[in-house]
Amino acid sequence: MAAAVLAAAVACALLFWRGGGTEDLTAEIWIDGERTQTVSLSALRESQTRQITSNGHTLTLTLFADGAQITASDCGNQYCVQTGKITRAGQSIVCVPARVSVLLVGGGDGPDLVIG
Amino acid sequence: MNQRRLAAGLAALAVAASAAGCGTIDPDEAMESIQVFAMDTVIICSIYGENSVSAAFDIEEEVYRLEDLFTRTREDSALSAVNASAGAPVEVGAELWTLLQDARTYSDLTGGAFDITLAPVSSAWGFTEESYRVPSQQELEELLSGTGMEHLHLTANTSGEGGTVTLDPGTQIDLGGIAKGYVSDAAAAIFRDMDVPRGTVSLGGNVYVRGTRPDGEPWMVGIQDPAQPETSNACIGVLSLSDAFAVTSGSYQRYFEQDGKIYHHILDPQTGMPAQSGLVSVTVVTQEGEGTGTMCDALSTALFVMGEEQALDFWRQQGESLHFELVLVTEDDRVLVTDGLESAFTPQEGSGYTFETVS
Repeated sequence: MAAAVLAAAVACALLFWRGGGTEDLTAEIWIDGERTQTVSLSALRESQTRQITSNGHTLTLTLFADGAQITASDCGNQYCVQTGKITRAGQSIVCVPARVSVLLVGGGDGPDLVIG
Repeated sequence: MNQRRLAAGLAALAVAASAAGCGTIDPDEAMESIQVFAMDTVIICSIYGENSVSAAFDIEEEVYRLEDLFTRTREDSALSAVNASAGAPVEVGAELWTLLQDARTYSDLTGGAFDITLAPVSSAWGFTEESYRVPSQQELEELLSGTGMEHLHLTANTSGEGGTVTLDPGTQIDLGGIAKGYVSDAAAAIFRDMDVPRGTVSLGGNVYVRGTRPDGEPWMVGIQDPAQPETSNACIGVLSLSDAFAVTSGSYQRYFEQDGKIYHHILDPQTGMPAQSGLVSVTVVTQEGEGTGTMCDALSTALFVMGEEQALDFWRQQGESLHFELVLVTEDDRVLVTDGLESAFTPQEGSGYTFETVS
């Protein structure tokens, strides 16, 4: 009985847990602390470019079937552009001046998060 | 903001419950994700458990509170009051006092390789203000005359809480190399106090992981490949961690290019120049404990400055008493992993690095 309850709990948890390999590679777009969009990258047939305007800055985000990249930004430090293309779950691109972040989740056996 | 967050959290719980089709959710598995922009970085948290929403509130408030204490670029911070004192003694509260003392401890332990008084030098490079330039040798020499922990004077209050800080004229403090570690310690304390069974906190190269993943396995924490993004394979390897801190300092994290040369943000306190130590990234790993997130943050910067040989000597001398392990990435594409991490570290195949275990 206890084992069955535990198994059910784990099964439920896996549905919420987005870091591991239970779903397709997905990009989450966060603006000023709020998750505004979730895009399934694996489903993209061709790359998509979108403009994100936040906190007085405009960023160009390109989404690919295998990752995401901020290809242009009018922020002062350009760290978001220097990050380059991210391709694995756990990686993120952050633009502090624009208060924007793009996180990758899901998509196979990637790490839960990446430091550095 | 908080009400919106609360509503979003509750809605997420409701959606999760119905989507899971599990009837009732195990309250320990509810998850809340938050991002807080503060302290010149973003704090990204995943928090599980029945207290996840309230723990998220507490962490957000705590981050803003600590930002008010420690941030040099905020004119109204407690640290800015010290920096503006022009040589006069300034009374500071317990937390700033503790962090300044910690900074002194790690400076002493690393022979000055960790140095919070480099603030004017960092500003001269434009790393603080994000207006980059290469300062002249003469300018650096002048600025270096006011750096070093001997220019920071700490006198404890007799009450045992807080104390008085006096800076020599011209000396300025930046806590950017240690404050994020303190914040991760504070987040870990909230996780413990709120009985958060599992979760992760990530901020500016600092990571804290609590418990295990929902599948019962340790959290998989990738270490960023320091190579340029075009050639990067994302990770050099993955650490399996539970109840642990890991902090990476890398020359690739913040830099600018001028006249074909790259200048990164980790400055050598002896020269005032970007440290040319043969390392491109240093990751310090430790189990959760009192102040160990702060320690990892300070050591990752210091050991980067010290370079491979000195960093490994330091680990051999202090690793056991301070309970930390290392992953070093060198300019010549070697990854050095100290033996305490041997079973926790999985190298990334095909990453082009040579992996060595160090004892």
